[in-house]
Amino acid sequence: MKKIIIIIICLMLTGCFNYKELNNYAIVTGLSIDKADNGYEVSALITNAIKENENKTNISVVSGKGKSIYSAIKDINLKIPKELYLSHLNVIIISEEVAKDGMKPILDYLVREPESHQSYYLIISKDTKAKNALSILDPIANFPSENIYSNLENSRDLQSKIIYDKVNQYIGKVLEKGIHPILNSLIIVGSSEKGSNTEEQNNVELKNYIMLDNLAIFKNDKLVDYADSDESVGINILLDNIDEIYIEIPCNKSNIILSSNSLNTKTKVNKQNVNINVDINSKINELGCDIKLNNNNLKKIEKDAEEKIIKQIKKALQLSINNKTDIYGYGTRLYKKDYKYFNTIEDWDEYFTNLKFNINVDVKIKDKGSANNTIGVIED
Amino acid sequence: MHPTIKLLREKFNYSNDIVTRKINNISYIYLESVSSDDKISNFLNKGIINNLDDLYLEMSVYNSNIKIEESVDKCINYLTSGFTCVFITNSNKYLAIETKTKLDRGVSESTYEPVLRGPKDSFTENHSINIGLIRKRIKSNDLWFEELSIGEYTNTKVSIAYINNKVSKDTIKKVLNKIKKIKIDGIIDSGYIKNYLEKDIHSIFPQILCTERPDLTCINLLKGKIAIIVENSPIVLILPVSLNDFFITSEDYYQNYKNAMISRIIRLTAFIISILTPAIYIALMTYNQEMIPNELFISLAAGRSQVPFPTFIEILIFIVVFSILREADIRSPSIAGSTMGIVGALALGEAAVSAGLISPMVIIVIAVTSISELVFNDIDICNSIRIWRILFILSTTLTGIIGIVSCLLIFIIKISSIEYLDTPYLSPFSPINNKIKDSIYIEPIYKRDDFK
Repeated sequence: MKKIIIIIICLMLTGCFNYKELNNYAIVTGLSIDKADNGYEVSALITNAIKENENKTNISVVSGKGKSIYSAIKDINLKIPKELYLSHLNVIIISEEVAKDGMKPILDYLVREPESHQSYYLIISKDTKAKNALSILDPIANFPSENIYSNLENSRDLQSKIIYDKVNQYIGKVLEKGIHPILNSLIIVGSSEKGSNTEEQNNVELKNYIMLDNLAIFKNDKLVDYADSDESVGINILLDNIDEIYIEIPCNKSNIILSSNSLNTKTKVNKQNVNINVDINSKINELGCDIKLNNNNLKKIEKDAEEKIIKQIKKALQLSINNKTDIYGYGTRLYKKDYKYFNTIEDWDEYFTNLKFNINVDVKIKDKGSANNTIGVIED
Repeated sequence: MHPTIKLLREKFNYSNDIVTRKINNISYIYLESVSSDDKISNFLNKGIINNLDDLYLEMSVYNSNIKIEESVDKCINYLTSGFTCVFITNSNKYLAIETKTKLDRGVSESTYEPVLRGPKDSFTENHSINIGLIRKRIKSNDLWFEELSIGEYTNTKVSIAYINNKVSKDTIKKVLNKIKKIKIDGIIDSGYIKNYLEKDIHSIFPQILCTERPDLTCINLLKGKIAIIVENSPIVLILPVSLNDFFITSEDYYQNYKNAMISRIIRLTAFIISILTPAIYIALMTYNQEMIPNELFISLAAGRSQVPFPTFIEILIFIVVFSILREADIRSPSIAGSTMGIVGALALGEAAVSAGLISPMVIIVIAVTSISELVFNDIDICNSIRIWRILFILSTTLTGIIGIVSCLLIFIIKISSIEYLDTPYLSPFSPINNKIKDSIYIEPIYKRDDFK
């Protein structure tokens, strides 16, 4: 009996140490970070938890300024009647300026905060204030941050130009030797003012929207450059991130389109050179020109595709050599292979630019689809 | 009139259901309320009138159940059980002839424990019919009954049934001793005996299985358990049992064993859901919100936005309301049932949500827990689940997920420490024994040893 009483007392004395009802929380699903006069302007996208009202958006964007992220968030807290709740963040949009100055001061607060679960996306807003991107409504998604989040999640298998690093992977890459991070960027198409207007966004034709753009290249925690579309594909091939890409091969004013079923990149890093082997199994998706699909022609298509991919990969490598930033993690691979030698290298990023790259691409066409030749071309 | 008859009438305080008659030197007495007039005139009167010679009276009565007795005390017993006592002038001995009237409803369909496929009969209030329902299934002289008579005024017959070779003598002795020790004015239902047998175990969980199904009783007898049949009670007690036995229905053995296995798993899941769901809901809503997925989180918060009470008060209110509703449903006549449905579904469900008193998720949580509880037809299990559920809610309200874990530890320690008649309460699981083949995993009947 004594033991039971002691157990009960122990339980009682712990008290309701972090008892919180949901009603007290303002749920933040998106944050944006901009530069302000001397510090940061942080905006929070608050999803008001009220019962659905069809005629009214139940979201609001509140901004606060401060010398640090923490003080800016406290500044927001003064403006709303509830406590900001950061555990369910979907996305943090960071403006170009802030990213160029370095991300470390921002990330520190977000990592240190025990409440946040660190599975949100970081995204760079190109050419526009991050706050504007936070408030663009999308009639398809419930609220803007969900729009960006699900756009990233659902494009995973369909797009070869997007990277899926969440905040913890990003931080890992910042901290690790011999690798530099990459992030996605977004642009606003149309007007950002009209984009935050409900009535405007109820039009059938979507005129103002957020679009995912090319990859942003970092050196440590600082933004240095953007990749273009070809380079983005090249980066994803080199990182072995994707299975599905499509290859356009010009052919008599029209195009042949191949899409890959599987894509395997094998990388071997030696002291002086890097061997890259890419194996692609593909199928013909579209045959735009009159061509007979006999063995010779198929081989020719395969060869054209290989050349095209080699070109993309070389462009991507050139981009990172130009910026002296090893976003592919070759340094990490070398370190794992031969850490003694790696430690003798003074500046890996400088060393990286002098490496020799042997690129070998093998494209195989495994499937021609339901049709044999182009419509109208008769087989011999 | 025979002097004993005069004495008996006096003892019964000249009760108006006493009937006496004297033919020549033969007189008889019976209680009109428990005896059948037809039987008396057919079997007794005819015999007496045809053969007035006292020496051959026993031979001339057309009845199979005749006893020759002397004691007056026993005579009272016979009279109250529907016998007619025949006295002969100048003789100490008397004849007790069975002339019982039928005061039963007959064997009817089981109402508490219905099955989809299987025998439909159930026990009744009649003691000998109940024994007959068992006897007719187990046609062996190894089926033994020990009969006791308990209750100072009621003199209720209590029969302990078991199969001779399957139960240890020791266990029988223990049970018999426990029942013999009972000193009580009257036994009205087998529940009285159950209370006496369970009094040494300090647990909310029942130690004795109650059933009204003869087939389930026989299955358990064949497994080597003891059944206690109490007069005037359609509920038979089965002991010793473990928690696992409450998850078993007789239907499990009639179906394909693979399907029965799925039903067992569902019952176990229902047991866990029924105890834990409200506690988990409270922990997620008030302490560990970060564990809720994003999309769900916002809709949960939206549901709660207008509710003025803390989550656990909300849950407690609804649990109490549901319990009242259930209690009312059991007690009220079936005519009032439809009213109850309307009040429950409309007023408590729809209106409470739209009035902003309760969030819709709470209704779902309570509905799920309550329906899971109804999987068990044993009322004692339902009630103990209800009490533990509230304990879980309280400890969760204090400390969140830590509360669930600590309460779960106490719960497991508590039920695993129960041992009744040398049977640990979690027995096939801890300690593991060969009965594990009849728990969540069911071995088909043709492979099992205890059915051969």
